[in-house]
Amino acid sequence: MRSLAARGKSHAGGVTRPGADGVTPSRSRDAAPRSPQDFHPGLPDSGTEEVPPPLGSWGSIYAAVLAHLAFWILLFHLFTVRFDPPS
Amino acid sequence: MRGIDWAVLIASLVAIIGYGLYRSRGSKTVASYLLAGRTMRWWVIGLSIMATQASAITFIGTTGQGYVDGLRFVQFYFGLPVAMVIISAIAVPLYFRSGVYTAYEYLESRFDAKTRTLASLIFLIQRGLGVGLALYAPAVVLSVIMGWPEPLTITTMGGLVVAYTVIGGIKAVMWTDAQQMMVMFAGILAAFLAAVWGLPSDVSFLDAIHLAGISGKMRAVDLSFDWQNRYNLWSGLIGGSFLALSYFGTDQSQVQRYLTGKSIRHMRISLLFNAVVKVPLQFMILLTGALVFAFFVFVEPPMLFNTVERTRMEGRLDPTYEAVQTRYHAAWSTRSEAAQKLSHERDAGSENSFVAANAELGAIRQEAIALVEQSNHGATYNDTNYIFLNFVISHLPAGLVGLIMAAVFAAAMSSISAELNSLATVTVIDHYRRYLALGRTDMHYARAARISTAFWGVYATVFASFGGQLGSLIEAVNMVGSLFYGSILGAFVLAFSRWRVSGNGAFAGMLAGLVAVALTARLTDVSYLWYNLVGCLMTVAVGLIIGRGGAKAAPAAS
Repeated sequence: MRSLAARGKSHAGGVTRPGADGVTPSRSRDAAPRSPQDFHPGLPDSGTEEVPPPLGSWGSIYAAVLAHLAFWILLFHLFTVRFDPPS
Repeated sequence: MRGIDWAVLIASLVAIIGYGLYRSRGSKTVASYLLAGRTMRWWVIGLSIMATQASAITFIGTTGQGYVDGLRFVQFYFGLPVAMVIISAIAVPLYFRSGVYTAYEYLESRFDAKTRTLASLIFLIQRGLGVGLALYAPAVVLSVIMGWPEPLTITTMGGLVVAYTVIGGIKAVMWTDAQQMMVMFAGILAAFLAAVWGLPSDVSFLDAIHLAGISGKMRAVDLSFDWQNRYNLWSGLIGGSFLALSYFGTDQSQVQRYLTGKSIRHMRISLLFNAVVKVPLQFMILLTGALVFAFFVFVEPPMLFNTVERTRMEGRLDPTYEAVQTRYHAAWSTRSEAAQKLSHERDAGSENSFVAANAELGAIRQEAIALVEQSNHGATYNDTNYIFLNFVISHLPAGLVGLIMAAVFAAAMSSISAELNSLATVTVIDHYRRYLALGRTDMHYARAARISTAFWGVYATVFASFGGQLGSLIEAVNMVGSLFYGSILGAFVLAFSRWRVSGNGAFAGMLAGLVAVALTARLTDVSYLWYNLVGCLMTVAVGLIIGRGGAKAAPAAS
């Protein structure tokens, strides 16, 4: 990933992202605003990823982040129960 | 501050700014000046996002809040990881593929020009007022603590930030942000350890936590639900999620950080890095404040933490104030003895003695505060932001003071630079290039971006210079900021959705959302964390009703 980054070719299929080199025109910079059909919400991102996400899928990572939050809330709750006497 | 502190402070500032400028060389095009050529890695983006959010007042005020109010403020951040997951999953791919420079540019692609313009104007008003305050608020505190004249602090800090932001653009901003965030990490850790080591040798860390606990400062989670209670689990999780969604998902000062990412993967990991780190980090900052409280149980704290006000009150030779001061000293001695006894015999009687002595000390301090306010013709006195720096300057060893002051400067400059950079981007991309100067060369817009950054920098410095005369306007600025976020978020929810909504619907929805939040703020006692939920729901509801079946189709799914 690092070597790809150094070459500035991190985008899908080795295609340099428009505007990334500061010379290639960005789609948005010089073009008129595009139609909504150019946007693809909800599509999988695999087409634009250079390597798979860390835990195999983004869903697993999101679940891990939320579990991490739940862990801290539980820990803080236990901390409160232990050190904050009932008034 | 001693010589070594000055050396640490100046060396940190020079090294950070020098490195940022070195990394930003060659930023000559609009794409490189405003979006770093979309080449940034996740860790730089992640640290920059964190540094942008952590202003100097957040840094020194949060520790002060831990001292005064305990740990409950940590619940405010519970919504942040939830919001980061939603933004990563939904907004990031859309922003990345659309190739936009600003979040508001996306609204025009999805809806129309007026929706984009309204959202970007709201940002300019909100951030434009905020950036002056972001410079003024820490400058006041630093001036008091360091004994500098306010104009000197403002122009020094403002001048440095404006210089490197104008010269280096977003690369300089983000690389300095990353270094500044590391200095802040070091400063927080140093303060935490200093507070622990500052305790008497026969008082352990757990004793200190126990003292803070029976003083009501260890309530990190409150499970009760109350619309008016600002900080409980539910307002943090639900209200906090909406606030974080608005700030990180639609505010250009944050969106622009991750728009510089070289891929969706880097953008997402930068956000999720914040999701993982932010909650424990805030807990540690608040816990440092609570430990400073425990430290001042054994070392007498000043009755007033604002040294300027304290000197003024002492200079008046008012017998009433002097009597309060004598009683304060005696009450602190009683509390300190009760705490010593409690650390050796942890029984109910000792606990009750300490709690009573602590309440007595607090009541006497309130009497002193009332005298200060009376002598200032009723103006509110609040020294929460001075507590932490007072502890640092008076009780920390040489060198460490310089490091923590460097962290405070870093926190201030990282927020201000990001705001200047984003204000310039919105000014040039959403207004100048969109309406005033169409079809010019790339170099022209790059030059316009530099000029715009300098304009906003000078504006912020001038605004901050008159901060002392603004009075209640400052509160109004903070208030106004919280009114807008919900409507903007609602517009983006409509934009990111597959619902068929027209531009007119989104525009009307935003206006309705603004009115709904203004009415909620005016007519109810609902805590401000819920405003974003109200504004967002109203915008979406009105947008769907008015915009349904409009000419604009929802984004295609394939």
